[in-house]
Amino acid sequence: MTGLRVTLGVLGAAGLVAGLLIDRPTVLFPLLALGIVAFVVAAGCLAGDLLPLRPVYAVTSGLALIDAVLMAVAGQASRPLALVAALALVLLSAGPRLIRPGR
Amino acid sequence: MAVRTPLERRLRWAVVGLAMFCAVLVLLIAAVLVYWRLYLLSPSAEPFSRGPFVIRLGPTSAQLAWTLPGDRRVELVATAPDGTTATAANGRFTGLEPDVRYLWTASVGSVGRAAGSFHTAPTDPRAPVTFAAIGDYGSGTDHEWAVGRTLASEQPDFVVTAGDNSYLVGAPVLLDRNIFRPLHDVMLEAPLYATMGEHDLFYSNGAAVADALHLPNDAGRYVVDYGAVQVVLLGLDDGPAEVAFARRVLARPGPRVRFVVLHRPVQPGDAILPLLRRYHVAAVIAGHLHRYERRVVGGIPEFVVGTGGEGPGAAEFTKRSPDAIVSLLNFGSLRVTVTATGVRYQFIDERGRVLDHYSTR
Repeated sequence: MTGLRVTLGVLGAAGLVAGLLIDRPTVLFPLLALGIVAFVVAAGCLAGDLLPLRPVYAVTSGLALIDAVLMAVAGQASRPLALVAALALVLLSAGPRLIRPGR
Repeated sequence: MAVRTPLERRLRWAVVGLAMFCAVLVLLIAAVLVYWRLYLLSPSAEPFSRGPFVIRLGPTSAQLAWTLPGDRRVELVATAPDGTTATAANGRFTGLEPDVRYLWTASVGSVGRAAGSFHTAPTDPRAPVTFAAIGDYGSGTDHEWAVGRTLASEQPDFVVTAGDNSYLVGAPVLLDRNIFRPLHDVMLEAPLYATMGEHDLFYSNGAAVADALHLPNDAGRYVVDYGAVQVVLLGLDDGPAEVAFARRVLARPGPRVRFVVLHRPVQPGDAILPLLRRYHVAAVIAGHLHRYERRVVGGIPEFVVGTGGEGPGAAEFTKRSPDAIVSLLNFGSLRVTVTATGVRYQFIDERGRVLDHYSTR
């Protein structure tokens, strides 16, 4: 599932860049679109990590699934929250590698 | 446990694809729900089970009434054309300016839930006054609704009814269907001053209709003063008690132009006619006969407006009066305009056509 996880990281990074460079309310739409795509990709990641079960990967994928929703809608509430959500998506996509390098 | 065989790998990718497809479905469902919640839901249910409707109008005051289930507070605000506002206490506005059309809004829980307007009575006796008259209307039929719409569009200062406000009887359970819903729009703007017909009196001697419309008494015998106009409502007919009441009221100095309203039409030779002549009553408005008729009875113009919605029924009970100048079977209402120079009467049918007009100086 490396390809999906990398995609997730790229989506998070794109959200982070968009959140930093684009003002509200223009940024709301890209964040929403990136969050929706990330949600679908994270669902794929989660399924892949459950079959066979890889606990650390599955937990990060599950968190990424929730975080994708957060990134999609957080911009409505505040820009910092959206940035945090995007950053969290990057970290969650890279997390398993950081925790258990080589897998 | 690592995935090893090509079959396991394909199975795994199939599960991944299925999961992503499910995620797309979840998003679609969420999108539909959000759109439905934001743009397709109807507004929440009306809090008022009846009204608010205007029940009294004076030169400086106005009174509204309503029925609101529960113990919720209603905030009523009236705004004049110059932007000044007044707040009602217990549905009553005071300190208003005469001869001004105020827009009112009723809010429940900080949400505006009903709005309308009313025209305070003028103090200048030369100021024009317009009112409408209907009778035999309270049936909840399409025709009554149509008459109600034309009444609302006319924006009368008030409406008088010549009885039979609810068929077959004036029972409380029927009044929303027969009165308050069909006439909802006009009652937002103008008080409905009703007198009683047989059908209202069948049930509790008219108490239910009188209570619902906040009338001064169950018989529908009272007086309305509005600018240059005085309307004396007598009740069912012109019997001795009604004549005595009319004598008492008309003997007092009153507004310039006076009308008498009762349910059963005044007939030639009735005891009330000399009284009406002596006090220069402008016209009698009656119902009972489900026709529009213009007659002159004992020298007094009489308008029969039993055309509010119930319909003509059997021909033998809806015969043209022999002395009628005009006699029509159309549904409609009478519009009366009092100006400094005279009185104009127009019978407007449910389709908005003026089918009869008559003027006096």
